[in-house]
Amino acid sequence: MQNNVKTIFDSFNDYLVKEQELRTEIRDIVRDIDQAAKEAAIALQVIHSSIADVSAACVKARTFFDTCREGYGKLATLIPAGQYYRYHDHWHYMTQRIVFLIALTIYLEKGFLVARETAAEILGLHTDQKQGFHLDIEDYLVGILQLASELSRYAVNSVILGDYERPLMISKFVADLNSGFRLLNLKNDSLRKRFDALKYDVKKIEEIVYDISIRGLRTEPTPAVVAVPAAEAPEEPQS
Amino acid sequence: MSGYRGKQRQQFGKGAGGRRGRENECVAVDENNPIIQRFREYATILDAKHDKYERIVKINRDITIESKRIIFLLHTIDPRKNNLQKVCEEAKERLEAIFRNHFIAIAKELKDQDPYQYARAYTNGMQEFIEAYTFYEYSCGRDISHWETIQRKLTFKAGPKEPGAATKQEGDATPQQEQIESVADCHLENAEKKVEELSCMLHPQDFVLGLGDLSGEIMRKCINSLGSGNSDSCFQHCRFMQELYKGFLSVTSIRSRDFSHKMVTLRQSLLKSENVCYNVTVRGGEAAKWGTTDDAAAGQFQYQPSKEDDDEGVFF
Repeated sequence: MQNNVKTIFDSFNDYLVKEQELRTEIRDIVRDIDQAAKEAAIALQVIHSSIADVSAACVKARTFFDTCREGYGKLATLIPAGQYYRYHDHWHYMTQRIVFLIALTIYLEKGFLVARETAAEILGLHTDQKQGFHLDIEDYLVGILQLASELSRYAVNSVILGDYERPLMISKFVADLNSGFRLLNLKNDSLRKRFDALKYDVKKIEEIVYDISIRGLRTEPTPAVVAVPAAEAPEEPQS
Repeated sequence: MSGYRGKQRQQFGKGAGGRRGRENECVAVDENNPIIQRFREYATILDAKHDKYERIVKINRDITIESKRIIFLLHTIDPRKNNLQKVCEEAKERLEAIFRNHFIAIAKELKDQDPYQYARAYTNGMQEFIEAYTFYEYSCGRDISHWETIQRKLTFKAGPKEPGAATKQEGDATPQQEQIESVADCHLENAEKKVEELSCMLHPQDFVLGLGDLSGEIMRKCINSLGSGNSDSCFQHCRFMQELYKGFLSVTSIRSRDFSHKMVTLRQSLLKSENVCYNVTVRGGEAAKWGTTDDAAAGQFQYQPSKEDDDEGVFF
């Protein structure tokens, strides 16, 4: 019996050593991807100081996403099938941030919310976990929530830069996001905590819209405002 | 003031809505629907995931309860009552029932899933089960299984061939019993899934943590056997625990808080049972008096009728 306990622990140690080795490899790759993500984030910071450079920043950010995609490709070959969630903690923060950066880039370029499929495609990942290395839905959603807080900052800075229209667009977009998130049944986990912060972003953006409107800084006339809300109102409870 | 502000905000919310209406015409991108539709999709995915998790947690709880009961049952093994065989049979049956009823349900839930995603949902039940299983093996005087052996038992395969292999594997213990069990397994499997292989993943770490829990049970057993005057087995239990502790010490580079916590508990249990052995050695049979209940003392009286010291113990 004594020998048996020893064998068990010996093989347990072997198991741990193997896992450790794999984790080290993962960590190296993750560091590289993280570096690229950081540079993309830095490139995108320009949106807060200059409107003219936005499209250039998006192009630049996209080149970094290519680097990220390569990194994810390496990770995908490293992770054995069906063990994605075993090592998930190594890359989930990073993935959330990259999703956020992609979502921001696409929002800046096109003005809509990046779909999970598109984000996954940009990173060379799948959406279905049966196909192997994939983009976890919660990571995607947390990334989107990060987008909301960045947009609230963006709204402030666009006002500073004299663009009074953008906050209104952002407000609408974030309101849509908010109603989208209200459709989800969230458990009391990190995603929930992150979601609870969304209302502050919404509030902040609404206040910016308020400030703009009350001072008459909006260029457009307002009569339509009265007509459409009636149509909008029933939509809110639905969400 | 706050009410006023609220009203203002609501109005401007509508203002944004107004813009929304107009933008629908020029920019197709900004409709309300795509995001909502997307999120409905995400909601279904998330709900499915949470539901699955909850179902596994439920099974996990059942496993925990039943495992605790089996452990309790195994503590009733008493050499004076000569019930070792009977209790072991019953424990074995109930353990097999857990494989058959509970783990197969988890395995079904885990089908085509990444098992690590839901590992946390059943880790407690698994640890408790490992504790019960290894305690059963220990109590019945068998070797502790390697986790791979248990993992194989947790893999449910279709077709008559694989269960047959499982029978061979388990056969060395109590062949007759096993045969019946695996035939039952076989039926169950054939009925419920045709070709796929189902597996309930046993995380080696859970196994080792379960072994850590086992130490607590062995400590209890050690003290119980002191109570029943079976002091020889105290040393045996103690030696086993020392072995276990050595094993735990040999583990390096683990990234788990549970593990170090378990280590501390294990050490306490070990010290307790070493202290018992010390007392037995120093004071001999006299030591056995401490902690005796009437029942145990009576038993002890039967066991060692010649010792006068023990007689006194009865009247304490």
